[in-house]
Amino acid sequence: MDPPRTGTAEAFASRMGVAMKRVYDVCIIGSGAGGSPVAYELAKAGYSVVVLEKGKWYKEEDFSKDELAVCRREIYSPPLSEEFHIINVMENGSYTRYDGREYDWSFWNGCVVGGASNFMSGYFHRLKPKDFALRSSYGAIAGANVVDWPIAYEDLEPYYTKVEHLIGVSGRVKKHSFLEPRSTPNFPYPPLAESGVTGWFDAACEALGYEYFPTPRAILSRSTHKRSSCYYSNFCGSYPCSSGAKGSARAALLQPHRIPVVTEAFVYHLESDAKRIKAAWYYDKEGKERQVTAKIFVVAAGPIETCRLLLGSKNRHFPQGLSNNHGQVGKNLIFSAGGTGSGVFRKSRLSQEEFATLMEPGLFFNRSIQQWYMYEKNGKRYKGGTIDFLFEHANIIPRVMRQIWDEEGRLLWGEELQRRIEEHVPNERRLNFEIFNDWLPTDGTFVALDTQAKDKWGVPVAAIYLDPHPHDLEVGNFLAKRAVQVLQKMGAEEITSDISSAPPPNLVAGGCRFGKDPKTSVLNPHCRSWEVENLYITDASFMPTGGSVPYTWSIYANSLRVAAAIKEVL
Amino acid sequence: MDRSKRLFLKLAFGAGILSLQQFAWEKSLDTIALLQSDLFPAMPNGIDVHTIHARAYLAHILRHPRVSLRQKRIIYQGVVQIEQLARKRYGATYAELAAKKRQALLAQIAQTPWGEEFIQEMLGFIFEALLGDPIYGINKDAIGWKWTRHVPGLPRPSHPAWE
Ligand SMILES: Cc1cc2nc3c(=O)[nH]c(=O)nc-3n(C[C@H](O)[C@H](O)[C@H](O)COP(=O)(O)OP(=O)(O)OC[C@H]3O[C@@H](n4cnc5c(N)ncnc54)[C@H](O)[C@@H]3O)c2cc1C
Ligand code: SF4
Repeated sequence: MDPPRTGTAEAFASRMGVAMKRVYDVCIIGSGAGGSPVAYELAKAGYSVVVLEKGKWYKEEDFSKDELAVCRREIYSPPLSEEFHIINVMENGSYTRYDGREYDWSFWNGCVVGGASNFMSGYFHRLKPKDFALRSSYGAIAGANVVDWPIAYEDLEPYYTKVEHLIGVSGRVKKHSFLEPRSTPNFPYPPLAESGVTGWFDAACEALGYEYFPTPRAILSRSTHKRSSCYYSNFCGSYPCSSGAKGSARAALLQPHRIPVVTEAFVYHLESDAKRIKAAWYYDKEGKERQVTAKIFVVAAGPIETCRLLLGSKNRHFPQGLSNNHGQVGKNLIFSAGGTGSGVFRKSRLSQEEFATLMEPGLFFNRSIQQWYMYEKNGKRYKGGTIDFLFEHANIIPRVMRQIWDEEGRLLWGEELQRRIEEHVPNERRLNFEIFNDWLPTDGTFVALDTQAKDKWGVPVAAIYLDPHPHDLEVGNFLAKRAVQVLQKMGAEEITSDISSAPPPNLVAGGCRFGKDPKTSVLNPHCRSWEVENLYITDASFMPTGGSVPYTWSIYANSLRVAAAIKEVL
Repeated sequence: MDRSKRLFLKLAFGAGILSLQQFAWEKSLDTIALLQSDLFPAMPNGIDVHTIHARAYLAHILRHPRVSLRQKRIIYQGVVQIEQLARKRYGATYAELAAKKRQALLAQIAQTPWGEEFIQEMLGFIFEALLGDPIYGINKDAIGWKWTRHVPGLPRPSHPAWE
């Protein structure tokens, strides 16, 4: 049976030849990394589950490495002319308003079944035990709303391990100062094949006395009975995977287990009384209004859209938006702080053999450093972060486009540009680093509803307010310095680093914090709303602080944890 | 992971004075095509903006809903401003000028924030026509990939996905 691709919940039920079920056990909104594990767990346990997803259902055979379509026209996200965000940036003491349409500023990360997890690179890191207790470990920071999590690492550990098997994490555990406690000795899948350039990296780290380890990846290094192994396509991050090796929520959970998804269903309102959600209202692909009723509703539309849905679902019981009688929905939005940097290796400086090693396509770089996950400077203890190293993306258009500037920053065109492209593009490869440190939650970074702008359905769009904490840059720069040293030791040229407060739209969390106090959090420790008894939120919104790693492994793990809690009450 | 999605504000570009309807850009297509060949002249290996169908591609792009208003405006306004500058400096249209004078104008606008953005956007779409998948009627015989020794990812698209 093919997965249901389009249609309403009712149409789906009738196509399946089952009597229309009016009240589902669970209705899940959003089919990404946050929503799918709940759908999978509860469907497997025999509950009636329906997922409402605004995007379409694509399968492996639909995907290609079409740079123009995927990366330039972004066909898997809504056109900004139809759906967009308003971004308000704190500049010199007041917010400046940027309309996403005008400034080409997108916060979409892929609206299809499986969400952004289809497009991730799958660099997978667990949080560390101290990430769960940032406030008690490091104390308060003025201007930042740092708090401890209401659960501990030990509560999440079994689910991190479960994700390794269910989603598929490959790698090799190597001891280092901040290796988190594990209940199993190693990953279920062996490491992916690596570029020979990792040898240069390892030698550089050893000479510097830096601890490195192979980066775990949510990519299958061997086939399973339902998914094929990675075929080293060389075009991984930003592209959907044609083999099923990448651990997207679609490939790993929804597709093989045939979870019912109503596609092209944009949920715009949650109807409730004072205590419970009664129905989720959505526009179907024809623009018709439809509703789904269920005992339990799980919202996982990604932090910004989850907050928007709650804030827009007002009624007399919740005049400021659903589950928002304490004014916490949308607050403490966070991103991954940090930045990027790179160095270049050129044919002219390498032997023939070294150059061949450098240019070998497809093989992964997969090296990380967490030696400064916590560090001391001038007698003060800091929460640091993660440095991942990776080859520059293989997309050709940005690699050629970079050549339009020469070393002095002069804009080139014509023959001079053509000569530069010929000289550089085929004869060099860049090694990048990416820094991940905590984006401290602040009062000034949050989601609200914009009071003027509406999307193509006439629904107010989310307004994102950004006011990052200066501490984030300090930590990012500390880490970048160490990454630069590694590139220098490796012999790279033209080393640059760029630590900035620009929010990466694909690494977003917070907005519906979980906690122990209903006055300062939206969700209880099981990620159930304090105010609405049949509402759970399982995307990255729940995170009060984000840790210094990309989030997806933690999102998957937490979603499995919440699924177990939902089973208890169903 | 790929942090390439980290975006930066481009403050040089304002909301724009010219509405898109106001600008009869089809009439300027000849100028746009000439600008394309001034920015990316014919090469001895056979690559030029005609063989990669850069003009038709850009005409298509300027109508496409997935191409942002910002990019479209940069191109529309750039063409208007370069024409104004040509008249002011040489008393002629851009197309009427000899190659040397056209290059002098490009060098002049490259010193301004709007001119820099204009050249950048124009080159960006030339590179799309040079290096995008030939399924879109561009990058004829994969000539751009051969030139840059680029190995495209597999599978390649079996049909145009965004026309
Ligand atoms: C290019 C890229 C690279 C990345 N690389 C990494 C990496 O290396 N490591 C890592 O850990 N993470 C990475 N990520 C991030 C990762 O993909 C996200 O953390 C994760 O997918 C977030 O899960 P989510 O469930 O919160 O959101 P999503 O996965 O985005 O799912 C949300 C879903 O909700 C749907 N939706 C939204 N609004 C509505 C509505 N109103 N009605 C119905 N449906 C709705 C959306 O269409 C979407 O399918 C990357 C992301 C991108 C884009
Ligand atoms: S085949 Fe491998 S490299 Fe290619 S997208 Fe899939 S997981 Fe990534």
